[in-house]
Amino acid sequence: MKIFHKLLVLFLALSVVPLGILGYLSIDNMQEMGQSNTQQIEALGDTAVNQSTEALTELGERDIETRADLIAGQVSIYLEENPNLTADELLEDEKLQEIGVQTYGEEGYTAVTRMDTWVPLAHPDPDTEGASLEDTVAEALPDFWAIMNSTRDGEASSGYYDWEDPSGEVRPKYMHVSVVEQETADGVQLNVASTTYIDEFTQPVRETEEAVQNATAESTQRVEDQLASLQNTTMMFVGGIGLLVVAAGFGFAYTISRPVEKLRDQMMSVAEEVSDGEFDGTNITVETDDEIGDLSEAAQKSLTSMKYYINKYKPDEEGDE
Amino acid sequence: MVEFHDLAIDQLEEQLGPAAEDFARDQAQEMGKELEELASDDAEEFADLVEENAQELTSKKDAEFMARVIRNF
Repeated sequence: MKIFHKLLVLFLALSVVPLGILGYLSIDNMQEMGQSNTQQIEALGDTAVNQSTEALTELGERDIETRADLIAGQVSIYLEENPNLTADELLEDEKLQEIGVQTYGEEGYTAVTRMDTWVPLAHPDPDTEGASLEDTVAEALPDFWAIMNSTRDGEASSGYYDWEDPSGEVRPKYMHVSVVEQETADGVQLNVASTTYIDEFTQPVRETEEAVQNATAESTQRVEDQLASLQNTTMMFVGGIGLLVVAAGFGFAYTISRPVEKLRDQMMSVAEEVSDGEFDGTNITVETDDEIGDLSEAAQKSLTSMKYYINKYKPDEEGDE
Repeated sequence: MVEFHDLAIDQLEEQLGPAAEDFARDQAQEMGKELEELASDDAEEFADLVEENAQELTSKKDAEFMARVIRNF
């Protein structure tokens, strides 16, 4: 391998390769940074939405519980004021219907149920009145029945169950059942259930979630655009520097190797002429201000001395010398 | 004190290399003197011989330069 190629390879290996690695690492880090930023933005949005959802869900649960407790208290007062009313009479009692059935929100309502037979006494859907929940929903809606049945020991109960809405979509409902303190005249314990779709309370968050998703997508797109621009700039910069370095490498290798090759050519020419016994017109003229120049000058002096001694001691011209 | 012939040899060595002393001795011999006998008074004649004979070994330009320097010793 020629000196030129050795120097070029060495120069490129020490400059272009590290430059390439540096460029690759820079772009790779930028991509990681961009992905990390995007994930953080999305995580921030998700966190905000989730925390808001949790807060509103908890608020909704408290609201449902409060309504059940409130209606149970009102029913209890009504029973205290009407101590002669039996459970069967309450089924037809309009005042109980008025107190016990209250609607709220879009789908929320309260209902009064007797706890001996689990027959609703007051319900927004009159068709449910008169039939035992134990027979109608216990098997079909086990979660619903579990909540309702838990009040059997006299303690309030609450929980979630799935309910198919009019559109056919199954959505979670939250229900709280409070036990009415005052029993009926015939000693029947009543309870008041308050229930609604919990997502009624989190609806504002879903609207906010959409806004957050739009903002997140916009921010992510902006970050990706800026990142792409930065990557392009980096690639152009690294590419430009790489081209300059390659050009500099060729120049460097040429600058070093050219005088060496010239000196080699001249010395080989001199050697051939010396071997032929004629080197009058030969000179070594590599004029560089470095070690090659020094070597060339020394070689030229040696050549001149050789010329002198050969001329001086040529038998044909000097005769006796 | 540096002798004339030492200065001359140093100057010739710049172009002629190791043969400088023998070359200078030849020029002195051509003047009919020993190299060590040369003095500043001989500079002009010595330089003329250098200018003439050195052209066989090096370029005319270099030979003239060496002679000019020697004349000024």
